[in-house]
Amino acid sequence: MLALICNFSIISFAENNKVKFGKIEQRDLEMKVYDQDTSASAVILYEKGNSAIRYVQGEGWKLYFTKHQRIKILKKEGVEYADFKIGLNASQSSKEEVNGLKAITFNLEDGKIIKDELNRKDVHLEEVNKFHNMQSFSLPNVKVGSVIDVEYTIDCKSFFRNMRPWRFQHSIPTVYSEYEVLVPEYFRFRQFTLGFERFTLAEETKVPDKVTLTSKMRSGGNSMSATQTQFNTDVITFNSANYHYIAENMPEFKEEAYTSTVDNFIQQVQFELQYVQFPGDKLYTYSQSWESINKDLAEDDEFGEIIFGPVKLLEEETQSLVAGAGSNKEKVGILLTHVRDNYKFNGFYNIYSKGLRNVIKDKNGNVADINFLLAGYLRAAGFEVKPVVLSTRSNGAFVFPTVTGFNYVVLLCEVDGEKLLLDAANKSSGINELPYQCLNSQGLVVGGAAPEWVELMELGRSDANYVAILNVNTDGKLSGSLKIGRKGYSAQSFRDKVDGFNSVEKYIEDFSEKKQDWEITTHELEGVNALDERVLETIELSVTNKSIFAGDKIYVSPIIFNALDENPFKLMERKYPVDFGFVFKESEMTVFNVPEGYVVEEVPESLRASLPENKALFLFSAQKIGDRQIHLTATLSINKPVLMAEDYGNLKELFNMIIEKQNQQIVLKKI
Amino acid sequence: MKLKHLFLSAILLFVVTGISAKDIFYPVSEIADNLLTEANSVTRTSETILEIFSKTKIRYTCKEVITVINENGEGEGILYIPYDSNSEIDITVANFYNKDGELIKKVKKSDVYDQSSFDGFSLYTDGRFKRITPQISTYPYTVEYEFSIDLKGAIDFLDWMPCDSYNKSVEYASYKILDYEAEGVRVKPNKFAHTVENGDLVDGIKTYLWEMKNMEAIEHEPLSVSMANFVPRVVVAPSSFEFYGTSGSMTSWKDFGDWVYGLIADKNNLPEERVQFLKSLTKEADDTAEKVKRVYQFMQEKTRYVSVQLGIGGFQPFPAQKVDEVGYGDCKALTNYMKSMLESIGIDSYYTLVKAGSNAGNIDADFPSQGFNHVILTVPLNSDTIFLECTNHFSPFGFLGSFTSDRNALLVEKNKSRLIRTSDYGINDNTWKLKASIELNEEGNAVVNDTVELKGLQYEYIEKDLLKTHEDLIEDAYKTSEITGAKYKRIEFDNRPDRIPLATRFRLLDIDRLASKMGDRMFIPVNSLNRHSSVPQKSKNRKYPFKTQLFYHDMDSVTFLIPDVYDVEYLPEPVKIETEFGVYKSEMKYDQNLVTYLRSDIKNKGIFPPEKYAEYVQFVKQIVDADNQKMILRKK
Repeated sequence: MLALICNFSIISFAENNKVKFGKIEQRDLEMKVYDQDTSASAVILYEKGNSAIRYVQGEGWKLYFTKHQRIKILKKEGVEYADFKIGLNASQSSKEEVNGLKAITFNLEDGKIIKDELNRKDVHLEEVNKFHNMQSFSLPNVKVGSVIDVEYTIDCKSFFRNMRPWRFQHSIPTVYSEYEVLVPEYFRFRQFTLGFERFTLAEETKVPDKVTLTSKMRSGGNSMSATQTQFNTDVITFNSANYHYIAENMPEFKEEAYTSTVDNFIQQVQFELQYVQFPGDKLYTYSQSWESINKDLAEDDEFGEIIFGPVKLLEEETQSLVAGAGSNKEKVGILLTHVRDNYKFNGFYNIYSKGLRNVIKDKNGNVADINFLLAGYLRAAGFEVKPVVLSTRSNGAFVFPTVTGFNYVVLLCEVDGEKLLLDAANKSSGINELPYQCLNSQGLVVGGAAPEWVELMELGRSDANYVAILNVNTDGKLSGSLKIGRKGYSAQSFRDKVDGFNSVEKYIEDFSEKKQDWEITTHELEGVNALDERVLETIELSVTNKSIFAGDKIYVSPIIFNALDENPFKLMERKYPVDFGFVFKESEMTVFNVPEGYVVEEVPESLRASLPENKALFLFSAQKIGDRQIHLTATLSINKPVLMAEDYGNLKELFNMIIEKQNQQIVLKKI
Repeated sequence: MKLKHLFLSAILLFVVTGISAKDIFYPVSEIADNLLTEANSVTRTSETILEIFSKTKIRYTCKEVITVINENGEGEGILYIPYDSNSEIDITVANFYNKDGELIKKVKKSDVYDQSSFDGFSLYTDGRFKRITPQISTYPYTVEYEFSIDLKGAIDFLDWMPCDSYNKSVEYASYKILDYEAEGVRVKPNKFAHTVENGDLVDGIKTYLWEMKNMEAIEHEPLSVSMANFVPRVVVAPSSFEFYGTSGSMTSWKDFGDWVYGLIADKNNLPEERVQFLKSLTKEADDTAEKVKRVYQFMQEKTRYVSVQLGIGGFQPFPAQKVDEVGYGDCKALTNYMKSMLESIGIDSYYTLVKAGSNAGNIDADFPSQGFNHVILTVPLNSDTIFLECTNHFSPFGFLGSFTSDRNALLVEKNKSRLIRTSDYGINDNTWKLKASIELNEEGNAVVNDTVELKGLQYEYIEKDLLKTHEDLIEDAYKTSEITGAKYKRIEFDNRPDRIPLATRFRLLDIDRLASKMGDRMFIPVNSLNRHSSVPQKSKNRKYPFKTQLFYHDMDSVTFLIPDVYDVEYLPEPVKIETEFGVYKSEMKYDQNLVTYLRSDIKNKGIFPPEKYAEYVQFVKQIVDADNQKMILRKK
C-alpha cells in the first residue's frame, strides 16, 4: 500500500513537469468538484514560477520572472479568479514590463474543447503612481467549468532587490505549486520560508552556467582606408544557485481572529538580496547577518549618521526645555512630549530618515524622522540613546537577518540605570508603552559593538480595574459609585478613544448617550493627559436592567460593568496561535448593599478556572458579609501574550465558564 | 554671471516681501466665537466661479481658504481633485499658514501627488486624481488653494453645498455662474440658499450668484437624514451639452434619455448563432415571463461582472457582441446585452438608469440631471413590469432588493424616455417567521430545532448562504455565532427564488449551558434566537429629523421543554409597545413542563421630526430590555 502511494506521488510529480501552456487535460475540464475541498469555488490546478538573473548582450544582468498558472472554476463565485492584476515596480529611470502575455479560457461544450484567447486590446496598463504600475485583464468567456491558463514574463530590468516572493497557498486550494529561482554566483540572496503546511520539495543546487560576450572593435574609417570591424567572443563560465520549491495539495488559507498577520502563516518563500560582487569589482553588500545589519545601519547616511550624528542645532532649545525638570526621567518625559506635540507623524512606517534639518523645517515626517529627532533632543540633554528596529504586527515576522524585514524604529534610552523604550510618533504612547502595532517578537538594538535584542512581547501590560459600591434599590435600580482604573494598553486605547473627541467633556457626553442602562449623575476623568499614569474614571450612577423583581424576590446579576457580550472564541478548533499582543488583567470588585426588609437567599458559587501554568486564569467569588452586604470579585488574567493552538480548547471553555457565571444571579428574599 | 546674480536677488526680494508683516493671512483670531463652537474646521472663504464659454469650453476657477482647527478637521485641509482625459487641472496657489496667519510653506507643483483613481474594485479606469496633504501638527493652521479646472464638455455641473460635512463652519462662501451662452445652464436652489443674482444679464452675460455668510458648525446626530435636507444647496445642470464628441439636451427626462439612447442604439447586434440559440431556448416557454426568465438565467450563467470604466466618460456600454464574445461586462454592458438578447426574440425591454445603494439619495423628478450610477433592465409585461438586475449572477429573477428598489429611475426608450418608479416592497413582503423548540436537560444544556422563513428584503440576509456547502455553513455559523456554547449540527436551506423571494432555514443545534445553573435554580434567556441588542445613541437637544430605514415584520414562536424536576419560578411579564415607529409584543405562558414564548416585532420606515427622537430611543430600548429577559426555574 505504501509503495503504491509513493508511486502515485512520483507519477504526479513527473506529470507536472510536462505541463505545457495551452495543453490541458480533458479530465480537468470534466472535473465538477474538488474532492479534497468540496466547498472550493475554484482551484489552482497548477502554478509554476521562475525567477532568473540572466546576462543580456548589450544590456547587462537582468532579472526575469515567469509565471504560469492554471485555474479550474468550480462555482459561479469562483469566476473572479479569472480577473488578473499584475503589480509592477517602477522608478524614475526604469520600469518593469510584462512580455509575452498569453491567456486562454477552455470550456467543454457538447464534449468538444472550445478555446477563447485573451485579446491584446483587453489588456490595460495603468500608472498607479510614481513607483507602481498595474497591468490588468479579464479572461474571456469564463463560466462554471472553465479552465483558464495564463502565462507571462515580467522583464524586471535591474530590480534585483524586488525578487518576487512566492505564495504556495491562496484563498482557494492549490493542487500543485512550484517556484524555481536561478541566481548566478555574483549575486547572493537569502531565502526564507514561512507557513504551517509542508513542502514536497525544497532544495538548493548548484548548476554550471556560462555567458558569451561578443564585443566589436572598429578601426580605420578615415579617408585613406575602409572601416574594419573585428568581433571578439569571450565565454565566461560560472555557477548559479538554483532554489527549487514544490508544494502539493495546499488547503485554502483561512484567516482566524486574534492573529497578528496573515503573512506569518501562509505557506511562502521570500528572498532578500545580500550582496553583489563581480570578479575584480568591489563587494556591494545589501545585508548579511545581524552583525552586518547592525554595522550597516549604524553607518547608513539615512540611519546611523542621523541618529548618532551632530546635535548642536538642538542644544540651546533642549537646555531651555529641560531647565525646570527635577529628575532625569522627567527630562525624558518633557522631550518626548515636546517632539510628539510639535512634529506631525505622517503615518508612514519607515526606518530611514530624511535628516534632522528637514524634519525641523517640515515639522513632520515618518516614524524614523520623528524618533531620530527625539534622539537628537535626548542626546543634546546628555542621555545615551540607541535605535531599536522592529517589524510591526501587520508587517509580519522576520526569520532571517534581513534589513527589509524591519519597518519601524523606536528608541532605547538608558536613564539612571533604567532602560526606557520611547516612541514619539504615536500620540498616546508614554514611556515604555510602545503602540500595539510594535508588540511583535523582538527588536534589534542598533549601534552597539554587537547586535542586541529587546523582547517586545513582554513589554506590554494592560490592566483595567472596576471598583463599585452599589445599593440594591426597591425601585429596580442599582445605585452608587464606580471607579474605573486603567493602566498600560487599556489606558492607551482609552486615551486614543478620548482623543477622537475635541474635548473630554464631549467624550463624557457621548459616553452617557451611548450607555443606555446607566443614568450618570457625575463623571470625572483623571490622568488622561499624563501618559505614564493611571487613568481613573469616577462615576456616580444608577444602573437599570441588572436586577429583576419577581414576587418576594430580587435577582441581581453579579457582573454589572465589565461583562462579556459573548464568547470571542467561536471556532471549534484552530490552527494558528492566539495572539493577544500583550498580557492583561481585568477585574471587577463590587460591594452590594442589600435593601431593608430583604435577606440574601443565595449567591453564585466561587470558581477558580485556569489553564496549565496559569497562562490564563479566571477567579470568581461572591461572599455574604453578614445580612447586609455581598462582596463580589471577578478577575480574568491572561498571563502570556501568545497562547498556542493546543491551548485553544481550554481557553474557549474558560470563556464559556465566564459567561455562565455572568448569567447566574444573586437572590434576595423579602422577610 | 551677472544674470545669475540678478536672478538670485530677485528671489531674495520675493522672499522678503513674502514674509513681510502686511501679509498676515486670515489669522485665527479673526474668527467669530460662534463659528468656533463645535467646529473642527472653518471655511474662511470658498469662492467658485463656473464659466460656460460654450458647450465645449467650460472653466471652474476656485479659491479656498480653510482653517483646520484640530486633528478631526484635518481632512478638510486636504485638496483632492479627480480628473480624467476630459479635464485639465491647474493648481496655481497652495500655501499653508500658521494660526497667526504667517506663511509656513508654499507647495511646489512637483510636490502635488498624482495617482490613478485605482479603486481596488474596477479592473481598469482612466480616472486620476491630484492631492495635496498638509502635514502640520500644530493646530490651528490655515490652507489656501487656488486652482482651475478646464473641461472640454460636461454632462453635469458642480452643485453648491459649502457646508457639506459636520463640525465645519463657514465664514463666507459664494458660487458664481457666468453663462456666456445665455441658455447653457439650469439651476435649482433650495429654500436655504441665498440668491444674489438670478440669471440677470451683467455685461451681456447671464449671471448667477449665491452667497453664504457666517454659518455655524452642525453636529452629527444619530440616524440623521442627509445634510442636503437642511443646509443651503444649489443643484446645477446643463441645458444642452457636448460630451466626448456626443451632444444632447438635459431640459427634460425625455431629452436626457434620448442622449443615452444614442449611446446604446447601435450596440445591439448579436451573432446569428446566439439568436438561433435563444430562439430554441425559449421556443417551448409558456408565456413571455417564462421566456424572459430563461434568457435571464442563461445570461446569469454565461456572464460575469467586471467593472471597466471607459467610453464617453463611462457612459457607453461596450457592444452586445463583445459581451457575447468575452462573457463579461459592467452594469451597462450586461444590461445592454440582456436587452439585445430579448430584442432578438421579439421582446421589448428598456435600459434603465438608477441611483443604486440602500442609502442612496433621491433623484429629483422635477430637475433632470445626471445623478445615476447604475443600470438595470425594465421588461414590461401585459399585467405588470419586471425589473432585472444584470450584474448579480445569483439574484432571483425579478428581485431588486434594497440596492435598487423603490426609487426614481430613467427608462430609456426611443423618443419616449421617462422617469419611472422601481418596484417597492411592503412590510408584509419583508417577513421573518421563526418556529423553534428548545429542549432543556437538568444540566442546563439545550437541544434546539429551529425553522425560519425569510421573505423579501429579509431574504438578502441569507442570500449568500444559499451558495454555501453544508461544511461552510457550519463553519460560518461558528464564526458569526452570537450564542455562547452553540454547537451547530445541521443547517439547511430551501430556496424559492421569486420576485418576492423566500428561503427557509432549518437548523439543529446544541447549546451548552443555555441555562445558567445555580443551586436549585436555572436562569434561561427567553430570546436567544432573534435578539435585539443595540439601542441607538441618545441625542440631547436634537435639531434635525431622523429616519428609520429598515421595515419588516418578525414573528417568533418558541417552545421550551423543561426538565421534569423543575418548576417555573418566574416568567417575564407580557410586553406590548405600540408606537408610530412600530409595534412590539412578547408573551410567555406555561403549562406543566412546556413554556411558550411568542414575539412579534413590526418596524416601520419613515422620517420623523427631531422632538420624537427620545421617544424612538425609548422604544428600541424597551425592545432590547424585553428581548434580554430571563426566566427562572427552580427544582421541585
